[in-house]
Amino acid sequence: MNKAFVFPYFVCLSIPICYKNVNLNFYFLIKLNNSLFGAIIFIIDKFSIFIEFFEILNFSLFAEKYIGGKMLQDIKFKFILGLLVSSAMILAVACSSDTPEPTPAPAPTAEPTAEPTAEPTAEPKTIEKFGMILVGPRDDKGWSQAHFEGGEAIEKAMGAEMIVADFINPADSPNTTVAQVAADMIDQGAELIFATSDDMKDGILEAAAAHPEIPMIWSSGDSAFADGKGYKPELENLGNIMGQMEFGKYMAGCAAASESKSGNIGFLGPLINDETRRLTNAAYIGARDCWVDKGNSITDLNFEVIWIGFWFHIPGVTLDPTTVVNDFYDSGVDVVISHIDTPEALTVTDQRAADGEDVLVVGYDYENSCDVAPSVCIGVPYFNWGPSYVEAAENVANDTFSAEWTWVAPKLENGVTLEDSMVGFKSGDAMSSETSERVSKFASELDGIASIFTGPINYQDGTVMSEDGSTPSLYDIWYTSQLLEGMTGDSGGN
Amino acid sequence: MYKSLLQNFITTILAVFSVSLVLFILQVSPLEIYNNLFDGSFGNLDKISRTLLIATVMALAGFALIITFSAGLWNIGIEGQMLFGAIGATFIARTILGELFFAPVIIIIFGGIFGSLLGLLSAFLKIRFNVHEIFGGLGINFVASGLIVYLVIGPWKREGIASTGGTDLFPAASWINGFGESNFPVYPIVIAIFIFLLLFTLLSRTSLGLRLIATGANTDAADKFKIDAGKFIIYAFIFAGAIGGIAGSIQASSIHHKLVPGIAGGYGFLGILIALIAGRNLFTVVIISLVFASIMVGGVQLQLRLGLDSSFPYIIESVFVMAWLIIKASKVDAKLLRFIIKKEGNFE
Repeated sequence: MNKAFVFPYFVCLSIPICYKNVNLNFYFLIKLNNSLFGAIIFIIDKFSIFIEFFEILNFSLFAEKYIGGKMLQDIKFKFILGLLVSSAMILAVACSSDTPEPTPAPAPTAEPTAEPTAEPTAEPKTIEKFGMILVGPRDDKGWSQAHFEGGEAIEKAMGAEMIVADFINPADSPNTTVAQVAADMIDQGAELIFATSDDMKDGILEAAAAHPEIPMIWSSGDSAFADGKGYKPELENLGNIMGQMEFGKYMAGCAAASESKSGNIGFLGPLINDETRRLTNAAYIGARDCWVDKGNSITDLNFEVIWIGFWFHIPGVTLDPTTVVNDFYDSGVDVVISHIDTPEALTVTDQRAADGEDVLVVGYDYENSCDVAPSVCIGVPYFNWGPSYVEAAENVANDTFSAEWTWVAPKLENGVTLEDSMVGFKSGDAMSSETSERVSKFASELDGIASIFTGPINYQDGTVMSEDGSTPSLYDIWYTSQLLEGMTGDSGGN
Repeated sequence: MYKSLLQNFITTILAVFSVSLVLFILQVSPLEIYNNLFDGSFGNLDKISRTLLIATVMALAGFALIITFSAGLWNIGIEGQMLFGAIGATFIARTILGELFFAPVIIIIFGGIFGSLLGLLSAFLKIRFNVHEIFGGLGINFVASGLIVYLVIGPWKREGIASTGGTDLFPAASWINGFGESNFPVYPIVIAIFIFLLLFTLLSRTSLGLRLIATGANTDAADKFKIDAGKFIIYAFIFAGAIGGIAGSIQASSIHHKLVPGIAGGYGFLGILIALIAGRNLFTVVIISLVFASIMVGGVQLQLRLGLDSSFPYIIESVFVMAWLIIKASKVDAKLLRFIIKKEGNFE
């Protein structure tokens, strides 16, 4: 009898067949002391035997004479009927699930130790299980789904099992912290943990310190960036992976400006931090380049950023992205670039377009998010976490994992991102051929992430980000402190 | 006492049956679920600590509501009082006081004071302007959660970041730590036991408690006996607010170690359910809190091990409450009890 059996025990007690073997000694107890405990067991006993139910029924009919009221009787009858059905069902499961032993917990501890000793050379090394902690739902058509599918790529490549925990954020799961989830996953045999949000910083740092033997990846973080502000050299098991989405955002901005007639572009931003600032800036530079390329004046470009306050909508806490996007269109914006985890902007744009308005949208994060609103979607810059995640898992399997900060550059060919590129840009149905050509033309001219920020570029307050013709350092790009001159929006300064 | 305990036990069993039934309809095995819930909430010391910590917070919320229920008041504002307690805790943790070695004590006290201030506001609205405490409380909850969002994204934001994800972590001195090396929440439990005993004495052993209950039972009659109902309404709200505030400050400095917008975690509203279930029985509050906390903490396992949706713990919890209330309302448990007691005699 394992410890987990204790709780269902009293459920089981009420079932005749299940408890037949154990109930005899309880009769002893009842005989011994006719106490509270004895009474409880007695109830359960009586409860379980089919005939006794009729007795209860009889009793309640008897009681009816004193209380009266047909409805009460009816309720009682139905209640007892329900009780019968449920106990019959419990019986079915209890007795069938006793033999196969549903909890898979013991398996992983036994197998991995046995495997390498048995066949040390032949098969490629692999991991059995890994944990994937998602900030939103796994099917959000955005950020979390992209990570989830990255995990599925590991499952496919190595046959490893993914343990998923989604909705891990303080609004949806106020009583669950990242450190606790990570501990639970490790308990279950996870050999590698992915924490896939910037919001999980505190939790994953705590978890990495508490389990130094388990490799972990904090996606989009900077804990392993040796020159970075948040460098944690003591956490030798915590690496970071991020894609150079600046390319994708540059192309997104370019496509938006190229499709925009009014030059009013709305940027639906999540929260303000280094990452969102640099990506928003990249989108603006893309928009600027392509707007000017169309023969317009730069002063006619209105690039407005509104931050909702978190990666996705939390009612009562963040702004509602649906409202924000509607406000954008009401104020004369004709193209919205979404930067939040979820595709509300696409849904709203689809509705507005259905009402006859000439509005278009650019999605974010997930390769197929254009499917939400195909007719108004210009395109989507997306993450393809699969290759990097598989590599990390292989490193763990081969014992070559090290806490590295990787900022993966996209694979571009003639201005088009390749299929196995970490960062991609996928065109939607609403993209014109002219825009498509313009986007690939500008994208093919890029040479490394720094080239996107080729000067002259000034920050919002007029200070210089990069001098004429020069490019900023990786550090300065990663830790972008402000939005750029020419953009409207809050930089999040103190 | 013996009888009511037995009766509650019967109700629990019946409610568990109902939950099992619903789980069946959802085509999952109840046994597997209970297994995982139990294992996930009491499987090792770390999990027990987590469960106890959350149970403590829930129980405190339940205690707070029992006071106001005793005085015949619906303290919907409990959630806001908890939020305010957390704000008070954060306020202290961010000042120089947060670096002191006894910072947790100040944090708890300030959490209590902040919570009771908000409780006082509810009482003031009720007595002075005759605003029903449900509406006043609702409004206050909105104010409190709005204020937290403002503080988190405004004055107390992380440097260079504007996110509703939370403030910076408290300095380590402000954390309410576990016992020794473990996470065992010994200090929150001590606080909860102290408040339990205090309330128990107050409500059943003092004339103050008697007058409080008299106010709740019949305000007009209380007036006739020269009991100033208004005064006791204020007492009840201040006391409830203080306990709620303490619960909030425990959330902030023991669980999250920072201020996040949803820091009350819905435990205030859950506390209303707990108090509703428990009637006015403090002991039952503790038991129900433990059950709920184990569902909350163990619930993560359902997702991790069984791949169930993350909403499952909430389904289980709400079905449990519904079943409990229906059973109590239809008095099935009382009938069963009478039947059993009669039978027991026969058995003997």
